[in-house]
Amino acid sequence: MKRNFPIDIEFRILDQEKIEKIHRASLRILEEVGIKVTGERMRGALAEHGAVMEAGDIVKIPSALVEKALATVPEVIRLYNRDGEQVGELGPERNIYFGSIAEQLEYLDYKTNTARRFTRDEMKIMCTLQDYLPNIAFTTSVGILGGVPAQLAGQIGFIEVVRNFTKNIHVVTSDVEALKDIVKIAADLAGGPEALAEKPLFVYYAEPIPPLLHPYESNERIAVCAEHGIPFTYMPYSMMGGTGPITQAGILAQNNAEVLAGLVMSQVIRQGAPYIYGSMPTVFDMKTTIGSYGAPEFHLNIAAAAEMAEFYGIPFYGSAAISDAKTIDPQSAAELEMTLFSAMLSKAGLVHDVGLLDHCRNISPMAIYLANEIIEQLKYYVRGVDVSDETLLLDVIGEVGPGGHYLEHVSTLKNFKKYWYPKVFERNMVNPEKSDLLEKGVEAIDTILATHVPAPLAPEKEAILARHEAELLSRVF
Amino acid sequence: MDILKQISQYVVEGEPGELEELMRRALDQGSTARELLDGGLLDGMNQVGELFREGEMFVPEVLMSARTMDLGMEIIKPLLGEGDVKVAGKIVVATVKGDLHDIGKKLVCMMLEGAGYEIHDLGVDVSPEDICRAVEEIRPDLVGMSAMLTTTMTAMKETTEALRAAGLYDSVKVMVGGAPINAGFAEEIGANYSPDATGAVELANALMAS
Repeated sequence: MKRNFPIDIEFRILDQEKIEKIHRASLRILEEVGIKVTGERMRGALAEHGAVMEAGDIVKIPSALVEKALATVPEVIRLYNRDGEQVGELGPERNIYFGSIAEQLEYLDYKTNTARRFTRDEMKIMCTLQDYLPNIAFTTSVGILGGVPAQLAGQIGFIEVVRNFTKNIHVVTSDVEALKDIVKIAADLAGGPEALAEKPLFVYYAEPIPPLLHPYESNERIAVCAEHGIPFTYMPYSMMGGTGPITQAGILAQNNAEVLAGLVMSQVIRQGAPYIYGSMPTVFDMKTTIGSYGAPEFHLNIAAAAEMAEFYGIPFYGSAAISDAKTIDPQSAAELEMTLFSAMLSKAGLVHDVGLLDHCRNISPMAIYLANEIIEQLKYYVRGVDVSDETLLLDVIGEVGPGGHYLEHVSTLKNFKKYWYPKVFERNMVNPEKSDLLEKGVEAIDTILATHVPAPLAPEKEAILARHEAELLSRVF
Repeated sequence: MDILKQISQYVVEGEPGELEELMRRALDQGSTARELLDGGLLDGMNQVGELFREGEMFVPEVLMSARTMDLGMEIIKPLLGEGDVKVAGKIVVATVKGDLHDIGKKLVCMMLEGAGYEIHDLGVDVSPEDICRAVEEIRPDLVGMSAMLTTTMTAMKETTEALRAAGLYDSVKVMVGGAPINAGFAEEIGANYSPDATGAVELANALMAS
């Protein structure tokens, strides 16, 4: 699969020595402190593979078990859409795919720039917009769709996304049951469990509870994904000084231990199960008690964690185009750019949460629209500088000579379009007295929503969804 | 500096230093436990509350102050008479059934404790039945519930319903909080909402006063 865009730039946060120090610290956490694991299936699998079971559900994981898991986890993960077509590849060939979410607690109205409760209508907007925008590669069914019974929000949300979205789909559910239902639906869509394992049509997202809690509710999701060949990330969201140590090195080591624990759990259920390294070690704001989404240290930590993933040869699940601000304003704009810049330079393969504002409370179509532009802008940064005999243009410099100009030279004509020309941002010689950028954005989003229709799902697949939907609803009504 | 001011200063700084010595000296010199409490320890904590609201103090510092105040309380507790220490209120706190997240709840407990509440923390994954049982036994003024997930916030509703069914609802005021919760949801289930730990203290105080 061809790289999605070229990256030729060096960016490093951790050197080899720091990486190895964090790695060794994580191994010691797993070996000496241990993690708390509940649930018979996972405890049994861990014990069988040599983990040490101690009182209070504590499980200590020997380094050898981690090393073994690292040896069996695949380096390459292919991404598919609802029709089983490959739409991406994660692995040593560096690709970065940005994605957003299909529903959230609140919705930031792009016309009024004010937040309100998210309803089912807005899911259609999210799917259409993200299906259209070229720099958005996936959306996520988050499992909190309003207007349906809470225990079915994940399943119905997934069905709605499959109907309305043609790119890669990610799934979060609030419980294991919803995941199991979704696996069944996906298997039917794919043409059976083997076909699903061959070309998994979604990526799952699970979480431990830092520090070091891996209860049944978390680890059973690992088991279900591992069994069915569903690629998944197991993402510790931790806060420095709250659910993680206050130092960046400390929280990187703790999160890395959580991730390695998830890796081991996946491989003891099934060797070769696809696993994605995810880590969200953030700042616990001691003034307001929020876990910050816009803190510079958060994004530095994420990028550092991505280097740990690279060290292990596991794809990384990052986070960007997010903000602590609630609306489209100078703060959110600055945080969108800063976080995207960091993600773009980092070793992330998938980058989620695009357009998520108010520290994970509302989703903003306008922020997604702006992020699409910023990602394009940054592609022109991370491609680096091509220095070669052809690009030095020594002969041209000689031809033009002192006091000349390059405007009419053929090399200019041939190359000027290689630079970025913004579609949303403006470079007018005479700018309007008052910015009309957001007004134009509203018009553009209106046009996208009015004209873009995601390709319809094949009728036989729609029939499968309808059958499942009816069965699900019959459980409650 | 007068000795009460010094005590209050130790609380604000969250640094026990010579607090114990100072308090014993004050008692020897004829101060009453009550004076040390009101003019020293509580005065300090009031300042801490104000400084936190103004953004001058941060959570870990507030918690150190609360701990310092506790140390001071240990010294004068045996000397205080019945009714000298008024508990601000009694609260039963839990993360609801199916939910194992507790950093937010812990923070609320610490803040409420600092504000003089008697805390009964039932832990995480607590069923409506267990919350009802605790309410029956402890007879609190308030019940606080925390949830992190949209699926577990429904357990809050189950709990307020269980409290009603058990005839306990009218004897308490219910407070809820957590990432997916908002005021509208709280109202729907017959509870009161605060967005954060300091908000929870203000809410508790308001509910106690009402």
